[in-house]
Amino acid sequence: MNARRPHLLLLLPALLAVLGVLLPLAYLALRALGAEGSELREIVFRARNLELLANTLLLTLGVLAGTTLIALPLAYLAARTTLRPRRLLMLLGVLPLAIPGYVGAYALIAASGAGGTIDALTGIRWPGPGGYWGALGVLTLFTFPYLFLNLHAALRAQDPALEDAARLLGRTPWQTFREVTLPYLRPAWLSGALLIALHVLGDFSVVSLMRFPTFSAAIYQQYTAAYDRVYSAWLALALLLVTAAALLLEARLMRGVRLSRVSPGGTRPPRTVSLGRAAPLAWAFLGVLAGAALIVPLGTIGYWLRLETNPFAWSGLWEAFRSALGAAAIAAVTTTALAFPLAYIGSRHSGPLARLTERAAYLGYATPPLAFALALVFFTLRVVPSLYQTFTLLIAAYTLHFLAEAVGPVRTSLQTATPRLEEAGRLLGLSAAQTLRRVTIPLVRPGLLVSAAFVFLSVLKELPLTLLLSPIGFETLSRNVWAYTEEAQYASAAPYALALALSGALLTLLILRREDRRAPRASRPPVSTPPPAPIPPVPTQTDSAPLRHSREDTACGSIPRNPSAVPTRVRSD
Amino acid sequence: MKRTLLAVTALLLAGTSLAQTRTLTVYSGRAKTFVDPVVQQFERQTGIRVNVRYGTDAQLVAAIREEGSKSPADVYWGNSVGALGELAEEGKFTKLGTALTRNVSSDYLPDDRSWLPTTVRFRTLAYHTGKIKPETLPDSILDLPKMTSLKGRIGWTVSYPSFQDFLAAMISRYGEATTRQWIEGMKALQPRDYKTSNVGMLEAMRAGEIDVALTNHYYIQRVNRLSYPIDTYFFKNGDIGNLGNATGAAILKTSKNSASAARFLSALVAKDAQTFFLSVNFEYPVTGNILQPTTMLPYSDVSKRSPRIDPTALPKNIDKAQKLLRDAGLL
Amino acid sequence: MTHTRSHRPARTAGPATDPLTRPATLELEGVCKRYAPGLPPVVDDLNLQVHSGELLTLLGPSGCGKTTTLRLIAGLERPDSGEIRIDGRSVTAPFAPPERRGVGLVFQDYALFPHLTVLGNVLFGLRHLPRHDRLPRARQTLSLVGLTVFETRRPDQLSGGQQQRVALARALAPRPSLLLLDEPFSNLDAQLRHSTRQEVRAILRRAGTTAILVTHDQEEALAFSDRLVVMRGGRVEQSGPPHEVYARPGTAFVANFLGRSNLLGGTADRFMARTALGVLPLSEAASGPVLVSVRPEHLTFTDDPQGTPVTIVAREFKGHDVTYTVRLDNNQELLVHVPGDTVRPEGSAARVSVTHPARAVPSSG
Repeated sequence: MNARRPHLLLLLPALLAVLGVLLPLAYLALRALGAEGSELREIVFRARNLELLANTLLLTLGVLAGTTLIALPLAYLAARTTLRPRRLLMLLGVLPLAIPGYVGAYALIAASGAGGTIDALTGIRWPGPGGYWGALGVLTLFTFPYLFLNLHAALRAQDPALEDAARLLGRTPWQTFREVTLPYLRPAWLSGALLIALHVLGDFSVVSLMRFPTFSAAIYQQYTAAYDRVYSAWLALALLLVTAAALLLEARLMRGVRLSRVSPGGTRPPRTVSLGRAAPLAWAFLGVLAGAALIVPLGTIGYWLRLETNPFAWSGLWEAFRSALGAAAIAAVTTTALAFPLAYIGSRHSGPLARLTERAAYLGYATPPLAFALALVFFTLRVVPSLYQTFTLLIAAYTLHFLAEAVGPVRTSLQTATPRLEEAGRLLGLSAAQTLRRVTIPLVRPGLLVSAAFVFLSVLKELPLTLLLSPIGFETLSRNVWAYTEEAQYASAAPYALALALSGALLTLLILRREDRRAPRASRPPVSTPPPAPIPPVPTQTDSAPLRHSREDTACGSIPRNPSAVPTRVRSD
Repeated sequence: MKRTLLAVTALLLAGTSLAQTRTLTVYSGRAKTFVDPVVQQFERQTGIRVNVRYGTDAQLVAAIREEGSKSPADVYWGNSVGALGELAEEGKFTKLGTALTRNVSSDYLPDDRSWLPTTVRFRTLAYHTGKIKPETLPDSILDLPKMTSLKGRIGWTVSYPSFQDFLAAMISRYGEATTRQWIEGMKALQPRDYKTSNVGMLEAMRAGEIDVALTNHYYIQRVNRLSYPIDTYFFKNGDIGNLGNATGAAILKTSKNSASAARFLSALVAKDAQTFFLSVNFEYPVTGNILQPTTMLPYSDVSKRSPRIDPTALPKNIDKAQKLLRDAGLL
Repeated sequence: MTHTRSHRPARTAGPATDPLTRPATLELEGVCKRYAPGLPPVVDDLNLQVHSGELLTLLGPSGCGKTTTLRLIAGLERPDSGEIRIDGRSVTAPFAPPERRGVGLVFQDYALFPHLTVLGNVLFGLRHLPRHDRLPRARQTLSLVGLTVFETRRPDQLSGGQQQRVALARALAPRPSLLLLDEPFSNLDAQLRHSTRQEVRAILRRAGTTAILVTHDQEEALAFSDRLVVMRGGRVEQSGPPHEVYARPGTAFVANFLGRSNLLGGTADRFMARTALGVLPLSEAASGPVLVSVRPEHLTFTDDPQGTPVTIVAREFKGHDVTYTVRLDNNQELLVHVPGDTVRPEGSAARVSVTHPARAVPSSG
């Protein structure tokens, strides 16, 4: 192991990540608190603030409940039942992630109401989504994959012996689920829930389209409709406080949770149950979910695409596509490059400094993007005006915001590339630099690729930073979808939305496949979570010795009485 | 690794230097659909490259304020008298030469010639023709809050600059107390707020979400082309609800390109551009000799319906209007 | 919630005089199990009886079906055919789920609930008891395994041996009529394994529990059980008291698997057999072609010119004794197990002789 204290050069990126986020935020705070006393009092004690707070909290809680109601059954169906094909369930659990919330909201709004897609195709007037339930529904449909991936991985990784033990100690299957499985899922739920909470707190687009005023929606409204920026700054500060509270709450709930696999030794794959007569019910659930989260949005985009007549909408598509891909590619490289030293310190060093360094990555991720963008605008104009409205600033903002997504996969792959391998490299005559190049980097390359892909996908979908920080004339897919949707020009938004959804889906599939190959038994959550998810690492499967039967015996020639109870893998003891 | 980093750095630097190339920078509160064709023609005719930053009026006003002397903007093209007036009052604009203002109708040209009107629009009430008989609608917008039968069926756009201009005009004419009362009265009817999206509001009217909506005249003209069941209702002549309001452009004092900027402004009031605004968006021209579609009331007719409000009085009331909206919990 | 679990008081019965005279706690009759149609059966027409208070060991190599047998008894798998009876009551027709069988199981990796304390783990199976009886019972069981001071700890704060004992306490606390142990010592290091095994055996004896131990470790099987069942290919290969099975392996497989054994081809004539080691006395009469099993410890080096000449191929020094691999003239290799006081160099020539009567086993595959 290297020296406990990481090299100063390695610490530099961490410092950069922390300062890059904290300095603008500090400036934002100064700005918010810098108002005159009476004005400040008037702002802070505005009755509206309380309403915004209540709305923000209610929405966050509602989405957490909604996503759990979707993700838990889906994860259970995929991980623990014989429902097939499992790939289909996985796709359904992951693909909605490719559709940004504002595209989903756009699609559901354009699908419903008089003259909407559903009305036009079937004559049924589905009521248009709006307000609390509209925002809740859309955010739930397009964020539940965060929770699904975490819960699914945990359900796959749980030692089936725990449930067997509970059954043998007198619990029915349902009691076993409640008393053993659910507590086991708690940390996975918490880290997924935190991601979703951060997402809901930071989202301004869906709530704006649904006309449900939350802190983020209000910041955006102030930003677009009022000349006075002090109130925006104040709202952003309030949002930061709510976010900090969510982080603290999660950390507190996570404390003392010890669910690491206690015992040594191998494990068998989780037991799967046959649904029997409940199978049609499960299929109905899957059908409704697929309809709401995938078929209706994509179908609606396709429908409006046909109606598109605005020539500008088409002519700008290629440029927007190129800009979006370009920005996403560059941000993917810079973010992964910055993530590498952070992950390296996190996995190779110990002590509070190393822990702090790794946590630094999560600071930018947890900061609501709208507040961060606003802070960056204020900050650059006053302190580094030459950066204002430059591509460099946009990329820097993406990098700082998405750093956390890149750290996770790199660190996972660094753990497979153990220090022993580096030591072996050194003993075989390589210098430290050569070892890095010829041993470490080839070993972590898959992790780097996954990191880059995550960041690429996220930047492609990103809206608030792009909206506020893009250089003049820089048009992306997300900006166009937003601009046209805000003006209810659904047909014009359609080509951009489609390009976004398709490239997102393609990327998601690629990541999923890659992760599949890497960890065939449990796909890891694609987004690493602020406190690294304490999902126990899945040990490699114990050798499955071939059954030593030389002869086919007639005594057991009959077909098993209960064919559905056949496990996926033949056990060998 | 090192090579990748180098490449990225090079790319980033390239991005920065590109942004610093000499071009005309326009901050536009007007939508891309209206701006882009005019800009493209201007670029073709003059060879001057134009960069446009789009946003809402408020966004851009705030940006120009934040940016101060470092603002990259040469031209501000605003959607509302309020926004233009705010910046004019802060002395952000240069005084325009008479060469530019000579051919423009004096109705909306500010006395200090700080900005140039480009088009004129009118506030109106849009109504669903299948659900509302126009004779049941009130003579004055001040009486709209009394229409309890419309409870929950009214749409408005609180964040939209023209709406805030209209409130500012109401404050100029009737004072803050009356305006506050009107806002409270409207709020009791639980209107739906479509933020800045008039198109979205009229889409919602077609979808049956609302029956009447406070909007600008051209939005109704636009959807009429698509034969939506929506028509225009003007209040009685001179009513504040029929407020005429200009869009306009100005040259910033901080501009290092004022000659190109002046050429751009003159292009906006040239016949090509004026015809374009009329044809694509049904906005009234500010210069004479432009043919008008028959579906629109003639300018002379509609301008009679608008109240006479001193445009320079609007800006200082915008802040008051926004405060009233905030006090009511609407903004 | 109804429990049909039977709870018997702890008996003070010591080691049974003759387990066969006591009633059968568990009976398996013609039990078959295969995991998928087309695959060979894992458990194949298995018949087994376990008597009250008996400590039985299922021994066999990986894949012989012993763990599956355990899971069938526990109700974690359903047999394809055959019947299982616990305390004379069928649990297969109709199928009784695990929670209704009153069977305890100690898992190979313990399967302690990580979200519960040691006490919580032990209390987990006591839900059926009146509330005021639960805590005393849990503490009593913990004291049985000597872990009372650790009751507030979490499983991950315990050592492997302690976890093992918590797992045992958790399984014993409900006083199951039958306790199953699935390779419970395999995750402990050699020294701990030895002491824990003795402790567990003592605890089970004290509690008078009927228990089935599954293992692939012959030493463990010989040391732990009253009765040994050697399994192979899902069937019982041989069953009996450990010393008997060891001394008189019924098949070449058992001879080879249970302790290391030298198997030599030969021809038997009553109590004598002709083999590569010369003519050897047999413990039981046989005739015709046989495999003769000679235990390594029944071979010794000799200076007697009558001894069979061998070459020493390898030496494995184990402290108190040494195992040599020697090669006969016909190239067959044998193991010789002798006290470690003299050391013979590898490659040297020597002579060996047989000290005990050998055993002939049927020469079947």
